[in-house]
Amino acid sequence: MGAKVLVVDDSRMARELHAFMLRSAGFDVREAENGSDAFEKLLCDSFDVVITDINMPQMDGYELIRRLRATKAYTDTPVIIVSTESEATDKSRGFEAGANVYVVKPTRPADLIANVHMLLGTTGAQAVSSKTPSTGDRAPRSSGVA
Amino acid sequence: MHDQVAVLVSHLRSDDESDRRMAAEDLGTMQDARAVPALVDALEDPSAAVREAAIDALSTIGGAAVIRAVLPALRSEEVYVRNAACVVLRNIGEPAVTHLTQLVRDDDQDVRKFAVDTLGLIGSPAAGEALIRALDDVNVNVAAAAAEALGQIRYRPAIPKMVSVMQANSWLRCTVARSLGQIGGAEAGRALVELIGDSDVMVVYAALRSLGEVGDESSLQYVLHMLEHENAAVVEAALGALEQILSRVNPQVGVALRRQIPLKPLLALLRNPEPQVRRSALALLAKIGHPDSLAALAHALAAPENRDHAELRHLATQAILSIKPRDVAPILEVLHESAISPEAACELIDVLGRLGQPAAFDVVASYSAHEQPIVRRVVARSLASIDSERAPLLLARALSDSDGHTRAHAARGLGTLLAGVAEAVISARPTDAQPEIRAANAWLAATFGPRQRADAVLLLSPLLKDEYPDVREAAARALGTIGNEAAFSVLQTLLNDADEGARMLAVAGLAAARANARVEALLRIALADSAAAVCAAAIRAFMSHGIELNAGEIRKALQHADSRVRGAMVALLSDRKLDTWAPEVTELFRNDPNPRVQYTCARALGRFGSVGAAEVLIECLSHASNDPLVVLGAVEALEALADERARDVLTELTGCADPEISAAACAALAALDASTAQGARPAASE
Repeated sequence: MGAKVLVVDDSRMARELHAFMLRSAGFDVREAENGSDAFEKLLCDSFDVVITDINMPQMDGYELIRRLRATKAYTDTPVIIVSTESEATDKSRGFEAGANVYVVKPTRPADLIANVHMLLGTTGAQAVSSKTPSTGDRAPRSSGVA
Repeated sequence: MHDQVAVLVSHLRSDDESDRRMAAEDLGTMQDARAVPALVDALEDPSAAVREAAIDALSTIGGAAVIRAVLPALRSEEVYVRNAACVVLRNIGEPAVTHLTQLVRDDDQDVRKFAVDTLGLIGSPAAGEALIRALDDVNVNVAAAAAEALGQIRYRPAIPKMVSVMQANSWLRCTVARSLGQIGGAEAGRALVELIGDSDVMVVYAALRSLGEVGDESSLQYVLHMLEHENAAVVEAALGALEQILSRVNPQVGVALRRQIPLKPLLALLRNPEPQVRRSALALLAKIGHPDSLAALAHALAAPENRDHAELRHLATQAILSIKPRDVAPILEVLHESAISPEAACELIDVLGRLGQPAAFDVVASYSAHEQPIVRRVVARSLASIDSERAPLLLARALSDSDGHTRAHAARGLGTLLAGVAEAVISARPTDAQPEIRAANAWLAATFGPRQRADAVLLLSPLLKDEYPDVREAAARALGTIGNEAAFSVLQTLLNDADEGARMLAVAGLAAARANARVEALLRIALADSAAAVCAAAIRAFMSHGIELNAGEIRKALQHADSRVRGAMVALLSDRKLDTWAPEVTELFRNDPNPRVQYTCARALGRFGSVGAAEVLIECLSHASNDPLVVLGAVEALEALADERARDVLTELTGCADPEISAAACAALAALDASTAQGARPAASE
């Protein structure tokens, strides 16, 4: 079973497409439609990577990441922001909140998958789950700047 | 009034978070437009609770003043402020559409996207033309958001324009494909068929998902081709689309369509390494229900790769049941395979039991002495469903199994079997030493035909003194079921017994009997019994039989010294919705020393729905000293009442440390929301 990824986006289309990209690359994908939905799922289950939008009702992406970083099980879990907002200030806010990588929509499947592998320290043929030991060191939080 | 607004506005700047939140809530209640600027400022409050209250207040006030004041917030640097503005505008709805459509041409691409997103959430067709123009936006994210919004609105006039932008980049094509699925109709279906030939696999996937939503049978052949696609997610989407298409067509068309679907590639997909693909293939096969798929489905049910996927095994069972096969030989062949695991055998025996074909009996019976208890349990459960004269004998034997679950299944199975066959068991084992056998005999005797009933009473009477309580109760209930004069005489004798346990047995028998004048008369004797347990059991029997009680009997039970009697009577009043007793039940709810009785009273008040019930329950919840069971009862009753005044206290209880109370409070709030929405719908449509 591939590494477990949570895709968080209030846009059904974006959520489905990102999930499709990741499933096609062998990842085990779950979906959440906003920050609070995601946080609940993250607490009930365990995930290897979180991919989140920023502008979402109820709980936005920055708040979600801040809460994740304050949760023991997710202090080091790779987080990728995927947003339509492309300003440098948006990106730096994302990194300040604790994201590892910032990707601007529309997302290219190859970029997204490469970033996930990079953060997990895996290759395309080796998307390991957290249940098995990772073969590579995870990238430091600031090194995955898109 | 003026001063009040000013005071509340000043409270919005208080250092205390709850002061600010309450001020925002009160300003929303007052609906005074002068509070709007301050409430818009409160959208930037650091506290999420205050922002939520400000959103609610602005949404309630509504109107042009709020819209004009909120629009600039869409340009805020703070994401939560922008989101709050979107939510307010969405809540205001239709009146905000004109203002938002102007922003669709804004210079700032982020503002254009927020405007488009919010228009999609409002869902008004009035935004349709502006959104169509936005499909040409220079920024692909804005164009994609416009396509998504048009799908949310289900704006059919947009289809030609959506088709024309299909030459654009793949992200936009995907979004258009999904939106066409939401819009639906033959025109959208044709466009989607074009898209499943797209060079980008992501677009193909999106088009297949949408073709399922459209459900147009003319697309079936195109979707079938995608079952051989190399991408598992695409295959899964194609299977899902086929299932949706079959679900949407009328039954006659469905029969013809099912014949067009070739089984071979579908059955091959049952061995696909991806569980999701296997799941979708099983769901589709359940919909098709073709007898030729039986062997493959039996293999899927027993396959080791499905052992950890309960959902897949359930689907395989459903698919087999949907076939309703007369010939179960393909399943028996799989069961005969030497390498079959006990778990797989269980699955197959279970499905054979559900199918109930006599041809399966011998094979299922051959597992009745299996070394694994899990297998024997399933055999015991399944045998009663398979039509065979030998089933009672095997089940009677299973009553002495070393595994308790097996014995339980066997006893239940025997209870469902018919009398003609049962007689043989009784006569074969009249003095069997096993208590379970004697219990089974009691049940079986109850199902005798009329000619044997007198003999059955003679057979059952000694069992009333059996050393095992279950056997004694089974005998008493069987006597009640027989219900002839001889049986009632035995029960009446029991009612006069000095031993309380014997009198309890009599009530159990009367509860199992059919209601008639004799039963009613005997139950009234039990109602006056000096033992509280007998009296309470009699009340429960009155309840199950639907026999009337007079006011004196009800009052006496409500004032009984024993809580079991009081609780049983409140449960009866609740069951029959006898709301004229609401004052007495309210009194008990407030003052009864037993929390179980109070809980039952709370539930009764919820069922009565009498005037004042909600106030009593809400007031109770404000007392911190209440027993958790009483709180739970009050919350459950408030769920039934769906009274808006309970919202605050229920919201507070969602954070309760007791998970049962917090879950009940969530359920009650959901009921309240549903009730509010139901009440608000006619007004909204006006």
